[in-house]
Amino acid sequence: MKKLEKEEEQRLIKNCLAGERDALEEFIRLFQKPVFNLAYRLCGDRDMAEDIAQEALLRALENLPRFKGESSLYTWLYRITTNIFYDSIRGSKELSYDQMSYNEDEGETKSIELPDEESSVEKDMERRDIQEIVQKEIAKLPTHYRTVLVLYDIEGFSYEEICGILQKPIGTIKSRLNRARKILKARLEKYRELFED
Amino acid sequence: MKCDRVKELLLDYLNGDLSAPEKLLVDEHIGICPSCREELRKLEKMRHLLSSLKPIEPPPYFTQKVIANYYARKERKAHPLRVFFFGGLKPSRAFAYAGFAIFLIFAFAYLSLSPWWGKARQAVVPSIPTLKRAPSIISAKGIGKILVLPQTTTPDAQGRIRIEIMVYPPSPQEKVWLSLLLSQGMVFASENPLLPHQKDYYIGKLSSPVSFWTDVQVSSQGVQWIRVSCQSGNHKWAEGLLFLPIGIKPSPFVSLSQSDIDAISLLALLCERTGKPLALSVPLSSKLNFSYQGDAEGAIHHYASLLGLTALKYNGGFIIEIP
Repeated sequence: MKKLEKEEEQRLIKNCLAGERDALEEFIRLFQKPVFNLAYRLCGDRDMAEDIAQEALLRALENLPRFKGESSLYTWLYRITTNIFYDSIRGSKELSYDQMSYNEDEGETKSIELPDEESSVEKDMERRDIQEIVQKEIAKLPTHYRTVLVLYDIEGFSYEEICGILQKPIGTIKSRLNRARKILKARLEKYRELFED
Repeated sequence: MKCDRVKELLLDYLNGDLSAPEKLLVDEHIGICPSCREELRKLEKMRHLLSSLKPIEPPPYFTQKVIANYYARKERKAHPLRVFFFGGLKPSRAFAYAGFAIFLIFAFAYLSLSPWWGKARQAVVPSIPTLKRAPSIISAKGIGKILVLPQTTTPDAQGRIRIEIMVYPPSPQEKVWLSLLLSQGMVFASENPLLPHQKDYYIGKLSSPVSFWTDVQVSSQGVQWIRVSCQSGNHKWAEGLLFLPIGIKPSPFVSLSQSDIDAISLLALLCERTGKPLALSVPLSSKLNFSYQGDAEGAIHHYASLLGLTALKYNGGFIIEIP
């Protein structure tokens, strides 16, 4: 991911705020791919990712006057995208945010039951490529674990940057990342070929 | 160090988060323990799999869509587009009640003025409503309905006309786009410099009727038109077309008789259905005389009959009598 120099970032913001069409287009072109990819990794669905990414870019442009530059534009945009993703899944059957926080505070390692999919595994290998399998399994992770895993292991953000995006303490981030990896590894181990050298 | 404890530390080991003494202990253990070594290998492999996921490209025209929506939203804030709305986007309760009251008035006026309404509900092609205010048409395509009508009957001092668009989804629709397209003689009053004749609004979920308005600037005389469509994904579920006979008569709207209004609407519908440009011939009143290009004759007869009208071929054109 190409990071913007501070000066370049400020120039772009200034021109966008002045309503320059070229600047708006540059802003969208610059961020659409990372934002769309983050949205896709989080939700696992292209159509939904398109909606989330579009909303994130629009909200970013609309709220640009309030951007204080405390974080980079990327971090800020990723925060907006993640929030929109959480909003979009609110009310789904997943563990609620409160439940997740409670379990983390308790420090207990909750085992999450894996569905019995052995019979379909081989067929899956035949018809999907590795990328699809990995994405499919990521999409099954509990939301808050998935978010941290996507940001750290796929998008390559540091702990500190993820703290900025998710507004959570570093301990929470690390614990979520470890749990996410454990669950994902357990799921991926069904596909033995993935782990062959 | 026991295997369980080492396995707990392996993730931190991979992240480089262990203290020097802890790292040394893990290094020693994996040197002698094949099980933990294998565990570490799998974790490394998984990390590699994740970091090698290929980035995917946003869908085609994504940038244009975002820009169009950016301008649309900006304009909506400056000149609220939505007039009334119930359901879906959660308006305030008072707003919803006011909207509902307005809708009832419209609905009552519409039902009482439209002699074809009863038929239209079963007909393949919904009928043309006979609203007295101005030319209007209900969607001729798809299963939903769109009603397009100017709120004013003459352009104002700045040459502007306010167009009202009412959308009736046939059932709850997801990811709805409302597209407006103007003929060359008109531009949107608050113009998007990119697309002065076109506007695309992302409405999202639409589960009940919604009404919009927008101002258009009329810049030339003649028959102008506005096309409105609604689609979800690639599925276009409603489309409407409104013809505005700008400057055809000294006072373009008020002097038109109801028959003329119906005739223009019918012409619009026929253009739409046959896909052929039809040339309008004057004068308007009671009989609409027009010529057509191509072999649209069968279609003209067919659609005229669906509307309960008869098309008579006459001197290379058709005469359709409005009852």
